Amino acid sequence: MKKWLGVMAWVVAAQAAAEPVTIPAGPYQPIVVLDETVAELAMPAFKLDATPVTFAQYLDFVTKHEKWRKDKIAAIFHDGHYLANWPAALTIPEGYEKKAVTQVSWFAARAYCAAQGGRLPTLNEWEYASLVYRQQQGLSDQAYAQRLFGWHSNPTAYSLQDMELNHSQLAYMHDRVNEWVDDFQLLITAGDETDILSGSCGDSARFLTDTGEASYATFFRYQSRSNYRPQSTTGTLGFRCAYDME
Amino acid sequence: MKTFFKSAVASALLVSIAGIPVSVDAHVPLKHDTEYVIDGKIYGMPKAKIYREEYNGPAVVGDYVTMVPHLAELDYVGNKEHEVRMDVFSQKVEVAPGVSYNAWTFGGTVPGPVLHVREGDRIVFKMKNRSTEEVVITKPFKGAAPFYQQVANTPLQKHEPVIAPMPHSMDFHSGTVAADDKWATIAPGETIEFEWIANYPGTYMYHCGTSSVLMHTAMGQYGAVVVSPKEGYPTDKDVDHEYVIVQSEMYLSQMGDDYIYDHSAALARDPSHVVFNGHVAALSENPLRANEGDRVRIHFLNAGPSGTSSFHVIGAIFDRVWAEGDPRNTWYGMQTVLLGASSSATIEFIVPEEGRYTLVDHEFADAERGAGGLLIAGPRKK
Amino acid sequence: MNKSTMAALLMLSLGWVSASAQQAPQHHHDHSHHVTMEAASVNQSDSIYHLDGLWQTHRGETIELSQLQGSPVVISMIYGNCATACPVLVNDARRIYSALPPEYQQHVKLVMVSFDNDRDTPAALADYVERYQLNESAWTFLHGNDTDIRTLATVLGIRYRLRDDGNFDHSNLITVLDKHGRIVERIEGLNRPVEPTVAVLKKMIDAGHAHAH
Repeated sequence: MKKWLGVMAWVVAAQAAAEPVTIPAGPYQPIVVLDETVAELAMPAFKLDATPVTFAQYLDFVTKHEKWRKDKIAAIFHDGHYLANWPAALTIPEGYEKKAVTQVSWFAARAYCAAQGGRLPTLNEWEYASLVYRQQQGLSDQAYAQRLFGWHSNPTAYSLQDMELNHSQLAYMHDRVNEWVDDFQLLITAGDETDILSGSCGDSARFLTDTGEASYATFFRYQSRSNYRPQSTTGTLGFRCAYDME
Repeated sequence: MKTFFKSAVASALLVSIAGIPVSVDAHVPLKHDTEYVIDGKIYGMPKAKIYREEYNGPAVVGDYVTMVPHLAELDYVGNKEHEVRMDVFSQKVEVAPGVSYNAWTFGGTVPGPVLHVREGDRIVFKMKNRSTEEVVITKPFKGAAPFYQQVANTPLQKHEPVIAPMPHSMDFHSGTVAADDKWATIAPGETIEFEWIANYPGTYMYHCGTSSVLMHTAMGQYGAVVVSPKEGYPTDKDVDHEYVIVQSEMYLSQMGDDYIYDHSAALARDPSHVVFNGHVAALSENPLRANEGDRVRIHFLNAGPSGTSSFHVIGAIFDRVWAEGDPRNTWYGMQTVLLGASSSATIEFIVPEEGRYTLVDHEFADAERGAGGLLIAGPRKK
Repeated sequence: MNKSTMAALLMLSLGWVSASAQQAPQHHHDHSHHVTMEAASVNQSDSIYHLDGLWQTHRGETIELSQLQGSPVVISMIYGNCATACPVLVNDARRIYSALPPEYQQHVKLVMVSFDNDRDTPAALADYVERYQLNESAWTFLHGNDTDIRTLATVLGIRYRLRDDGNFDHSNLITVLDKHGRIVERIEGLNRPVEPTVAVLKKMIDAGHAHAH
């Protein structure tokens, strides 16, 4: 049923979002420990887009929501390179229909998701979903770490690959784009001194439950994204949306 | 143009307000109200600025900025304010025949450019995070540092532009500042601008200080600043050649046709390559040159990120060694200099005879992985 | 903090909220003097008043942030159950206000936005105002929904996170907005000297009056 819906959605209109997948409730042990008193979180169920949002889907959004066109967007919502590779306000680059949309700021990503009745996933939701995905795929720690380091070696090549959109399970969690999350800016505090983890040192160990390469790769994803501004846009940073259960 | 030189009276006043009992050097150039002087050294730089700019100029700017092993000559007397730019961006570089990886770089090379200044100089530093752009460094560029021409003349690393957006920062070991301000991480597209004073002489590492430093440095973000002493080294008038060597480890593993960063190897300190000046053949394809009887000075920096270096020249003894390049730290008659990560030495030796002198990390597990090079000596000049 | 430090902060804040800084950043702080038009709509592209969303004040009104435009605003984010940093932040805003000459005070708004959507209801915020005797009309405490709170915090550069024990980890930051809602100064940390902020506010208010006449 789900698969049929997915196919139909794609056939009827490439712009239509495929059916989001349900991420079941369960325990989640964060690899990056932001709160030293909490080792395990009870994650409620939620829904997440199976794939990152595509250029075609994003075009549909800006067509309906003028405020987010590249020629209309307020300066405070982007860094000057929003949708930089679009030839015109309502034209995506040729052949980009099924690629993950990039050059979108955090503000724009949130607005897109809100327009779909959703929101950006939280950091914990996204990472929990990533673990679910690794289990589904049978992805070993080593294979997972290698995939992430491989991505970091040539992120542009990964982000420009087409996607199949008729997935009934999570797809492309680690091999297309890095993805915005709602609370991407990390911080920890020691008393009244905030430490924004913007990173002035090689001190990852105090945030990690172990120093294996899989945990490190995950930390690196958190940490580097934490150094973006909400206005930042790059060719390797996209997003997918989350939805509350009805 | 602002007046950079404040009167000694004003300096003394500033210091006495700060309540720090020091002697004030009348010739110390103060520039900002925030600055103060202790023992003739200037502290209290103004806050770094982070902003966005459209910039299409050369990625490396500065009259005294060169590519390893070159060191620019300081052709000025006394102190100077340097305007230096080293943009940060990604570049495909070769480290051994057939082994290339997409490096994160300052200025496009691994190691990054060499900056030469004099003790007491002021550096106004600018860096744009251009990791979202394809930046070409193999063509000469008007207004660029001498570095550019030297890169164009030295194609060994086979530079190709790569887009790999990533937040980065710059940490100059040669600067004395609040790291959370000056060494702040900037997002792709942003520019950071700050000043520092070369308060201490020596050869210093710079590197990306963005977490995780291990990965950022292993990916190629390091280089050397040479701060020549105000009064010089005692042997200055006898030196015939002056070179810079930066040693570093690479942790690469093959994935398909590409080489990528291998974190397990980096944690285990098990490098795939250990290199002088960024390539296993950097100093054999382009050997250092001298003549019999010459006094050769090498500013040697071990950038790590994690290994030690036991630098030795086969057939020579180090006549003088200044630990960290500070002329007060003199050693004599050394066969090998042991350096930890981010440690340096300024080394001098007499080239005894015409011939070939192999430079090695005498930790032979490193030499066998690439940490070797060559100095070729011609006949004695009368 | 002296003039050059302040200018640097000014550039920092303006630098990353302005879209395409074609000019050198040094020129940016001049812009506030070029704009004389008072408009009901948000007419500055880098104004934080582009954020939509409805907020409830401690007086029980419902407002949009854009209704704050027209005078300079000193804004920070806190939560009511916070015993340590937040009272200091509120006091820092009060110190800024108190250091202004009385004829300037009426032109400044002090806005405290709560992180805590659950507990800091408008009524709870009214109690807070009562408890700390923040009765001057300059004060506005705001209650909003989680999405709008996150948006505002992010645009101001305030990082925060709800801990398992119900407390919030958060940056300590006070921001000064001009009458158009553009960030002109950020004060990081607690118990900072107020003089530079007071000078910035006085200058903006003086400029506003010059244009009005």
